[in-house]
Amino acid sequence: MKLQNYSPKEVSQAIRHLILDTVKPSNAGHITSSFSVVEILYAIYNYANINISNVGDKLRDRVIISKEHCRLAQVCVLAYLGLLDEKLLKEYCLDGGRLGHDLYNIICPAIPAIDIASGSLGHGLGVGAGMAYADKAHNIYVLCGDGELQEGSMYEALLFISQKRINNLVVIVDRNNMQIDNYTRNIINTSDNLKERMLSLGFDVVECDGHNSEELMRALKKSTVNPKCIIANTVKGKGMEFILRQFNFAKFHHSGMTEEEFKLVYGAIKNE
Amino acid sequence: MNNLENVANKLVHLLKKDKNVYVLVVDGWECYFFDEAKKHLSEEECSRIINMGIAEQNAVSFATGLALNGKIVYLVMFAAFLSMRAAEQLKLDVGFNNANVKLIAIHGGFSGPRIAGYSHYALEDLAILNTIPNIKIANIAHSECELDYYMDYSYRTYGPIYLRFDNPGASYIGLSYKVESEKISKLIEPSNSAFAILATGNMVGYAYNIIKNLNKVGIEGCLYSAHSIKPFDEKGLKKILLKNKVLITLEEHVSQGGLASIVAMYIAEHKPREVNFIPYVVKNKDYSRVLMDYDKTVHKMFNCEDIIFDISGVQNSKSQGKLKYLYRKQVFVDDQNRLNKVFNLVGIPLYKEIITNKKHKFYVGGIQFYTKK
Repeated sequence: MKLQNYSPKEVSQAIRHLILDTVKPSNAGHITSSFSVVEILYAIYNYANINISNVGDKLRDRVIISKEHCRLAQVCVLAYLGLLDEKLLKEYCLDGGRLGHDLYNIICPAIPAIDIASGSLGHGLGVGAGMAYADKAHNIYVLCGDGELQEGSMYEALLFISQKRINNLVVIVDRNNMQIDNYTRNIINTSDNLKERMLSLGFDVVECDGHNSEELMRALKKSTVNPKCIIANTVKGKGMEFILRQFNFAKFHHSGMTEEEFKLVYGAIKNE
Repeated sequence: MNNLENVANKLVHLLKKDKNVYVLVVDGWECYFFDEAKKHLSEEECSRIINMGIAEQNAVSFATGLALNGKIVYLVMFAAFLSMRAAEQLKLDVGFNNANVKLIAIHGGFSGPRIAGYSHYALEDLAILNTIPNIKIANIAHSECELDYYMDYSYRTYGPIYLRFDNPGASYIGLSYKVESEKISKLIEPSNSAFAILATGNMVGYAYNIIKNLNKVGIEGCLYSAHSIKPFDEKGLKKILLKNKVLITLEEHVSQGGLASIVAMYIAEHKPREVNFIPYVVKNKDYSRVLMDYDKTVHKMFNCEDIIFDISGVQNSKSQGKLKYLYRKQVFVDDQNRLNKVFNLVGIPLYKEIITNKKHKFYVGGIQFYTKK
């Protein structure tokens, strides 16, 4: 069920709303990281060949979330598209719940669209490369973070993908310029010279606005000679950036919010 | 004050005291540890706090380099990533070189954040570190005396040490006792004890609750803390085994390579006497049955405020003829049997009757039971 009757802005608002609703019962989840990838994930799932009839198949297009903190956004986008039972969102991060970083379709049949368990950074790209290498008939989309590119294992995977010319794998980097503790430029700058670095690793690079659905679709459609890397420029906590002024960086990344703060954010999204 | 704040304070103190002390953090711990503290540190002192980013392997290698050039390096990171992601760096860089690196492993056992789940739990770290020469292991309980001792010990003793903190946010047990490196500490030791609990890390607090509750119904038990996992105090263990017929071990770790495994090995090798040995460990059976049942049974079982032992859940799963899959919440059928075994051994034979006559509730050792009255 792809809801094309709504404007992109309405879709984004609805999904961000859903994210907040999902987080509220447990008050645990990476809200800001998830807010930066809402449009990206929505575009990928619209573009990829994943739908209700093939979601249970063993081989199909796959979307791998390597920056696992966005599992929250992923389940909300899936629920919005009807690929995941919306009732399950109520269990997010609660005791006995079926949604969390470490659960995936093989051990939990209720979430067929979620392909791997992860949680620690720098794993998804390598796993995605293996999936793409094994099944050339389908496309694998791997969403990474720019902070995640500090992991050495990411370069092991990138070099391998470029060497083996795994063209049915698309690397999408959510460049929000931030990691838990600070801006990436203040810790290890993996954001600013990203395009040059990916080019030198042998990728064809497409840059776009990560909050603009049209640009994202154009980037996904563009065919390339070498493996494709999409650099999507985003804002961490899109729509709720003002909270950073009240929180420190770590709190902004993954802390729960008070009733008051929730109200503020709900309001901000509405007026976005 | 909890362990996490306390460790941060100690590190700040060391930074001020000694110019050779460096504190390396990987992404995520700088804010937690030093957001406040940095305001009280000079620029030079701040420059000795280095954020290594999201790169565990490099963090361990870099720490080794500093240490080999004469610095005292404290490396703060998640136990799960330190022990498994950087395992080879621990072996070759830190262990093989006997580098003066103090590994502060946060969130040992099940204490990793729930939002992250299984990837952030460290249930294998003691086993991995146990196999690496030179690196000492201390699993620190929620106790000021253990923390103070080991922070001081690590500073004044040369060589690598792995300091494991389980559930760093929990409060202290409020009992002071003598702590010595490479020795088992004695917390409670009555003369007429029916059993002994040898716990480590986080579980010392839970064990303390069990003993306090059993005291209410007139049962006495010993409690020891095995904070030093490597080197292990075999003499101390022998003494405990000679004094008690029943030994229960408690830890947040899989059965292989942790406390239970060390004790079992000692008993098998030295046979000090006939002993009933009951290890409480995470059953390392099958990842798909996500091991979180341990959280529901063992943890809650020993926490006296909570209703812990889901008897009805066990019966349900039996009546369906198979184990019920509740993610992160699965109840194993044989836990009830194990529990009966424990209490039969420690001299409470009436438990079966009490359970079958479900009328009124009462708690022992944090476990909810029912009585006729």
